[in-house]
Amino acid sequence: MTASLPPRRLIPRWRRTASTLDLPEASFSAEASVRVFALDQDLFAKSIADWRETPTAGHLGDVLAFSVDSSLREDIATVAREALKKSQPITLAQQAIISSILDERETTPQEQGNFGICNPATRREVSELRRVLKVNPSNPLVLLDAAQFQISAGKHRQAERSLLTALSLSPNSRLALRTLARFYVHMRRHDEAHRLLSRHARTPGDPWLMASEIALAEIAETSPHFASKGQRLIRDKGAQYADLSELAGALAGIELVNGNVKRARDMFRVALRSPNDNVIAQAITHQRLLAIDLNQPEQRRVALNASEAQTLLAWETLNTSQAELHALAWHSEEPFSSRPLQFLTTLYAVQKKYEHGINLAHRGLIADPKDSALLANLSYLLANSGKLELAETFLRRLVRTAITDYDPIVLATSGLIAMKRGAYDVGDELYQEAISRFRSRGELKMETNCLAYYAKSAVETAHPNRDLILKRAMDAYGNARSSDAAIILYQLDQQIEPMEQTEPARRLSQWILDEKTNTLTQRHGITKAGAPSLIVKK
Amino acid sequence: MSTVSSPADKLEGVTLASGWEIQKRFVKQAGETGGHFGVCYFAIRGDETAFVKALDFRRAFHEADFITALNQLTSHVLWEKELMEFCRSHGMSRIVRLLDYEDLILPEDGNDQTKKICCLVFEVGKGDLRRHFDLTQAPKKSWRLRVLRDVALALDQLHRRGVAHLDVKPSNVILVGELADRHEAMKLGDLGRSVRKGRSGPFDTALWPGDLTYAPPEKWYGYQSAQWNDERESADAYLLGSLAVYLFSGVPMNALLVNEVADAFRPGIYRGNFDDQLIDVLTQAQAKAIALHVEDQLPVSSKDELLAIITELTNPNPSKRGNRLARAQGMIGIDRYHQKLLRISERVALEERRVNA
Repeated sequence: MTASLPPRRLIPRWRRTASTLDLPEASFSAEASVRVFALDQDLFAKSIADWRETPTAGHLGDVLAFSVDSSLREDIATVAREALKKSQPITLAQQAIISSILDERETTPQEQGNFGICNPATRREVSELRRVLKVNPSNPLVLLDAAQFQISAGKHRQAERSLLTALSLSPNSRLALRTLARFYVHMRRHDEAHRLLSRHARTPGDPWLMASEIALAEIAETSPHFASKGQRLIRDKGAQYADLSELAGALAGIELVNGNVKRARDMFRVALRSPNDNVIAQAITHQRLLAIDLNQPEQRRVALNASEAQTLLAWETLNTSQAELHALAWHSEEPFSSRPLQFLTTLYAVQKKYEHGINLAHRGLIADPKDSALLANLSYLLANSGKLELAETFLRRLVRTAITDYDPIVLATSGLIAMKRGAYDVGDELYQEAISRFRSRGELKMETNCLAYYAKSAVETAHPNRDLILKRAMDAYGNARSSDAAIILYQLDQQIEPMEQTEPARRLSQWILDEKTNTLTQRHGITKAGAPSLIVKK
Repeated sequence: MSTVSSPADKLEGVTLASGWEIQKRFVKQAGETGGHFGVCYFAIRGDETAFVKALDFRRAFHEADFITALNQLTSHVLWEKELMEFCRSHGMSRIVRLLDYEDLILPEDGNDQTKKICCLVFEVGKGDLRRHFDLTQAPKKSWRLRVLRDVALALDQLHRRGVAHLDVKPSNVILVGELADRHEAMKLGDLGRSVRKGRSGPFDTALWPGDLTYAPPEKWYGYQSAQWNDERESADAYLLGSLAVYLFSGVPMNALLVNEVADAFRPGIYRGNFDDQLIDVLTQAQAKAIALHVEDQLPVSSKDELLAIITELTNPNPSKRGNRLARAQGMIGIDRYHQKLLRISERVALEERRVNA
C-alpha cells in the first residue's frame, strides 16, 4: 500500500541526464549572460549555391554543417526537403540531422505493455551507453546514466564506482554531486549523503546544492548547515526564481517539520514561482496541509510534464488508468526508485493484475532488496495470486528486514493467507490485531486502509461476513479518508467520491486592476483562504 | 555591399605577364558579396591549370569606413602572400602552392595606375573535397583515410613552422594531380585566416578568424586560451577530427555535436562561460555523436584505432585535445596522427584489394 511509504522529502531527483540537462538545475551558472551566436550568412548562401550546382553528399554535408545555428534551420530544412524529393544519395548521419531539423525524431516505443522482471527498454539503453562509454570512458555524465542502470540491476558496488569516477573526473559537477548524494540516500547511507554536500567547496555558492544539503540534513537527522544562508539568498533574490525553487522548497520542508505552516506556505510561494517537477510533487504531497492554489499556469505547465506529480494527482482523484500511465512514465525516468513501483504494485493488487504487480515488485527488489514496502506489496500480491507459501517466504523476509512499523502489515497479509486457506476465524483475528495496532499508534488512515484491504479479502474469499466487514470499512473511510482506501472501495463497487480539499485554497498571487490608471499588476504573496484572483481597485 | 564595376571583373581572355591565360570566371554565387573584394578565375599555361584571385583595392573606397577596409584588405593580401611564399620556401608538400603574384593594368585602362589590380595565382587541382565526396561514386575507406592523412600531414608541416591554419574545412581541401609518391593527393588551401607564432598578423586578436561553422566548440562560447597549443594547434586538431567525422559520416562534427546537446547548452542559449559543466555536456554529446553516427562507418579492422584518433581530436576540452602521449609532453601531436593514419590507410587499402581480388 502506498500509505506505508516513508514521507516524501525534497532530495535530488536522479533522472537520465538527457532529461536533467534541459532543466535549470543543470545549466545554472553564476554568469547570467548569453553570448550571441550567429554564423556567416554569406558563407551559408554560398554553401547552398555550391550544393545546387553540384548536389553531392559532400556538398549537402557542408550545408548541414550550418545547423549549428538554429536561426538557419528553416533554410536548411528547405534544402533537406529538396534533397529528399530528388532522392539524392544521403548518408545515415545526414538522414539523422535532417530528421532532427524536420522534427521527425525517432520515437522510442512505449514500454507500457512490458511487465517482465527484466526491462527490455533498459537493456536497449544500457547497450547504447556501453557503446558511448567505449568511445570515451572518461565521460562523467554518461557514467551517471550508467550508474542508474547498474543500481536498477542491483549492482550497487559498480554503481558507486561509476559515480565516484564521474565525480573524480568532474569534481565540481553539481549533477555528479547531487546524484552521488541521491545514491547514498538509496543505500540508506544518509550521513554520507549529507556530509558529501555539506563539506563540498561548491555548496556555499550554489542554491541547488544548498537545497539538497538542507533536505538531506533532515533525513540524516542533523542540523542543516546552509539554512540561514539559503534564507538570505532567497531574501536578497540572489539568483533567478527557477534556481531558487528547490532551495525555497527545502526551507519550506524545515518549516513544516517545525509545524510552522504559515512560513512554509510563504517559502512554497517562492518555490512555486518557477518550480521544477520535484518541487511540484512536494507541494502536491503537502497540499492538504498547505491548501494553496496550484492551478496557476506556472505550476500547471510543470505539473503536466511531471510524471510523479501527475501520478499523485491521478491517485488523489481515483483516476487509476491515468495513475498507471504516469507511474509507468515515472518508473521509466527513475528505474531504480521504489516509489513509482510502490504505486504500480498497489494499483495492480487492487485491480487484480497480480502477475504484473509481482514482476514489477521483483524488478524493484533487484534495485533495493531491502525495500520493506515493496516486500509487503509482493507478499500481498503473491497471496492473492494463490502462491501462499511464496507469500509467506517474502513475509518472513519482510519481518527480518523491516522495522517494527511493518508488523501490522505482516499481520494483515497473514490474515489474507489464512482466509485464502479457508481459515476465516484466524484471518479475522489477524486482521483485527493489525487494525488495533494501527489504532493504538494513532495512524487512522492506515487503519482505514487496513479495513479496506480486509473488506477486499473478505469479498474475494467469499467470507461469510463480507457485507459486515465492507460496511465497517465504509464507516472507517467516513471517519478518516485515504486515497488507498478510496481506490480499493471504489473497485469494490462502493459509492466513493474523490476526496476534496476541505479548506478553500490560498492564492500565491493576485491580479490588481487599478481603474484609475487602467493598469493590471500582479501582486505576489499568500492570500487569505478563498481570496479572489482579481481585485478591482476603484 | 559594393556593386561597382571593376577591372577585376573583366579579366576573361587576358594573359598575365607570367604567361597565365585567364579563362572562365567562377560563377558568382548568390552569397558572394563585395565584402570579400576578390574575383576568381580559372587560368591555363600550357598543360597547367590555376586559380586566379584578382583583387581591386579601389573597391575599399566604396565601403563606409574605407580606411579600415583598405587597411584590412592590404594587410590580408600581404599576409596570405607572405605565408604562401613561406610555405613554398619550406617545401610544404601538402599546402596549395602560390604559383605567381603580379600586378596588372588592363590595356583599355592605358597607364592609369589607379586601376591597377593584384593577381594571386594558386594551384587549382581537381576541385575540393565536397565535390569528391560523392556517394554515387562510393569513395573507398582507404581513399578517405588517405585524404585525412594528407590533411594531417599538411597541418604537421604548418605546425612545425609555427603556423596554425584555423580554417580547415571540406571546401579548403583540394584534390591535386600527380605527386611524386602517388597519383593523386589532397592539399590544404586558403591560408588567408592563418596565424603565426611569434609574428603579428591581422587575425592575432580575433576570437576565431576562420569559418565559425567549423570552429571548435569552445569558440561558440567565447573561450580563448593564452597558450599557443591550446588556442591554435588544438583548434587545428579539432578541425582535423571534424574532417575525419565528415569523411566517414558525411556531416562535420559540429552538426552532430549540436544535435546531441541539450537545448539549454546550445550556443546562443547557454547563459554561462565555457566552464566544467559545459565541457561535461559537450563530452557526453561528442561520445554519443561518434558512437551513434561514426563508429559503424569505420573500417572494421581499424575501428578501435580510428575511434581513439577521432575521439582525441574532437575532445571538446581544448587543453586535453590531441594525442594523449604528446599532451603529456606539452604538445598536440599531429605528427603522430599522420603517421598512424598512413599506416592504417595502407592496411585498409590492402584489405580492399584483397576483397576485390
